[in-house]
Amino acid sequence: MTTITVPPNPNAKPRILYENLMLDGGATITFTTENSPDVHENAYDWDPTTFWTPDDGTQSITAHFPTPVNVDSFGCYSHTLADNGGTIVLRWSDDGSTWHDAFTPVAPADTSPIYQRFDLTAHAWWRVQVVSTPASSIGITAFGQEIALERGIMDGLTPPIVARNTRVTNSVSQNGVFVGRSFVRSNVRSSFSSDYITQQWIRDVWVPFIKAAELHPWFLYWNYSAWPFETCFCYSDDQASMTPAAMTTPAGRGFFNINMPYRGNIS
Amino acid sequence: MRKKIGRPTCQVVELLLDFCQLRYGTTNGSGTCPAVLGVDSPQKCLNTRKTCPVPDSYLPAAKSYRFSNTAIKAPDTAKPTLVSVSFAPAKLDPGNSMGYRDTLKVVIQDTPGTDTDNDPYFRERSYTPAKQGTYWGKLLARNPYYQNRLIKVYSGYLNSDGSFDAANFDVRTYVITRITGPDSGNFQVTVEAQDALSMAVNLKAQAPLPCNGTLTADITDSSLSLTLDPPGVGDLQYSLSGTICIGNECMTYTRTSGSDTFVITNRGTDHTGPDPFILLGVSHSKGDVAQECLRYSHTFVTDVLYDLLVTYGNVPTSFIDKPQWDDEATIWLSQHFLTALIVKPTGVTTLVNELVQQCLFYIWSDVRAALIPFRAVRPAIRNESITLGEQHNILQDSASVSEDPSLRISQVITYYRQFNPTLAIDREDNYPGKGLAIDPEAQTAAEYGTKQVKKIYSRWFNSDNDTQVSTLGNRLLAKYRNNPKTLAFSLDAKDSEVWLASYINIVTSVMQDEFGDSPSQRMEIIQVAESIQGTKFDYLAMDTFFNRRYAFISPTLEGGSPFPDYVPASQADKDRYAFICQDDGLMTNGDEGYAIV
Repeated sequence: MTTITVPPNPNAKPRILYENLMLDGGATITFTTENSPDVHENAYDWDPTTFWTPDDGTQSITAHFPTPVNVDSFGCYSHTLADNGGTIVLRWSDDGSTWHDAFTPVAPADTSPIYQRFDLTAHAWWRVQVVSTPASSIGITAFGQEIALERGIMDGLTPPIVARNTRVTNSVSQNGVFVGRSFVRSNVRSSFSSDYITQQWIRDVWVPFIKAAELHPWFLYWNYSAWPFETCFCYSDDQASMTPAAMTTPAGRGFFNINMPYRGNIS
Repeated sequence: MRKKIGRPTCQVVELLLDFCQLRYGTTNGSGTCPAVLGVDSPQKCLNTRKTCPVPDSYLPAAKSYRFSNTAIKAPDTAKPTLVSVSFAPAKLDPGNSMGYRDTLKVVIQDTPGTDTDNDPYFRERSYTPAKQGTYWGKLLARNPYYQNRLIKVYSGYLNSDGSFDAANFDVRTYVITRITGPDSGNFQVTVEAQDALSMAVNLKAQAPLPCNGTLTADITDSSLSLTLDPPGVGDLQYSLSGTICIGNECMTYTRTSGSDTFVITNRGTDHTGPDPFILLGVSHSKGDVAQECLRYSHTFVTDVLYDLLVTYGNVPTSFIDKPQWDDEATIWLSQHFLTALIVKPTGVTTLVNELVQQCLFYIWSDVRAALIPFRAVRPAIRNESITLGEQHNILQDSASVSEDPSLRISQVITYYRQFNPTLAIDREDNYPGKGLAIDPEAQTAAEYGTKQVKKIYSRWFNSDNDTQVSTLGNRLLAKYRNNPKTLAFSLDAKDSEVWLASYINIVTSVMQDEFGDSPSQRMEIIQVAESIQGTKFDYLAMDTFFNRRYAFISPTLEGGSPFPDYVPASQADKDRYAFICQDDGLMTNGDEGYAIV
């Protein structure tokens, strides 16, 4: 399990959740119900095309860690909760019997990725709970400790919601009449960057994230303060870059500019 | 959905591979697996034939593996690892051959796999599936017997919320021929497949089946008994009665079950005519091969075709709608009863091509319907034709027309009433029957100036088929006396009900008459390719010489009452039967008049 040292988080800096304690935290996992092949492991394998489909009603997957683990964020994507009026919540316990919600249960209105933030807290028991009748399918959940960019995102960012990567084809008849239009649903494609990042932050925070992003997807909450419902389920599109910042003054030495190209899904 | 403006296209490929319905060492709703862990195998199987330790109990059913080119809303999803789908489309060759096969090539990206959907015992393995091997690496190692299993391509449109509804998709069905990969560069696999008729290609399918029974001793020219080696070959390769051919001699026989001894009932059969075609009994030596022959006696054309494709061609019966075949042939080929003796293994494709050519029909593999339809070379029934034009249908800059002079025919010579079936099929003096159809005008200097002769050697037509031979020659001349025209054009997906073998009435500025006008042309689609998935389709259409409104003479009564006049008649009656038109060639309501077939 990776220990993440995070500086204090002022408002509005982008947040990234790449930790998946249920998968990587060494916990003992139990569950209430599942319907093969939609087994509970599918809910935390980072694969949006495999699902955990339990019975209807109140169902959960519980992780018991050997020692308390720090958690301050939760992500969920690829689900059918909106179709069934279902809710999802992350809960914690110190004894495996008495449970507390980490945030108000979410009743999604559509299929957008879910990202919930809460005060950092450490407990040995964590539970993903779904309440849904009829039963819903859950593709991805992840919880752990988020990271925040040290300095925020530079001007010129294209927010995920407008970084659409849709391919369109028109059909026109011999006489010039518009007769048809098709498009391929695709994802979003963009990148974010930040300049004058300290070397220490690079080593403590950014490099661990880059290594994880080479292996699996992650959640991006690019502006939770101004746009709290805009979350993106992302995967890196190419190798992230880290380049020395231009030195205009002696004070500018030793800083880096970082850039992460990504693709993702916002619905 | 295909007519909607703003269609979210999607393509899904589905492989249907065998997967055992039982569970290792337990009883479930499908039955009991008798395997014992540590006795029958050191670890549990993977529910495939390759990994099954108790194959006598193996109980397969088709399991679906789906891959898409775009994300699909949960839970009807597929792995979005489909890289590309390409088709080499089928091409019809009406009245000539089975045409070209429809082939498919699919490229899929390989990925790590958790095995939660492919291994019922993934929790019991000593390794972590996501960290060992890849999805396709494991799938192919577990499923080496994928050939001749089905692969389906769904091409269509998602709902506006990204969910999958099968009603919005065309489904095309193929038979898997080969899977290669994953390669170490791109980590991709390539799946190749062909349409159902590919099962009957000559390399795979022959009629009759090859026999290797050999004489255990010399026989004389009058022997009426023979025995074959190796022991047991009689039941394995020969019927209880029929015809065998040894060397160039055919003889009829009977045999009892379990015996390799044949009682010969007639020597030197099926050799008629003068010397050297007639052949009575001759001696044969020990070790000579006896080949079982395939005989058809006054058999209806669709029954011969069905037998060749299903019995010898391995085409699954689910692809054949025999009642449709019989209905079509009963109307248009009602006199086509065939007689032939095939004395040596011959490619099924070769034999079917002969039938197609000589009986003037065609078959094709309709991958959308997963059927092999049958159609006579005939006019379109009125409501079969689809009207297309340049205003609302033909896409910009897509239309072009060409001719193929090599297909033109001015003479048809049909050789039939074969003397001796053991001689080469194209030996002309082996056929006393000779049908001749000539278009002398086409050969004059004022027209094409050359002869183009088509010779047909028919083992199928005998003295009962003089009328069919005459019709064959005349129809081939009618169809090919002028250079056949082929029109290429493209349509938007909204018009994609136009498919292989569709009849169309098309108006295009690239096909003009002598006055520069573009009259409606009746053509038949001989090739379709989906060039942009879900969006654009490319077509080839060929002239049909049936350019009138054809129909049959009606019965006198219908339902006990006199047959109705044209205007009050039902649409079905108007489509099938001819009515007398006015002097101007039109019906009283202005509809086109009829020509009687």
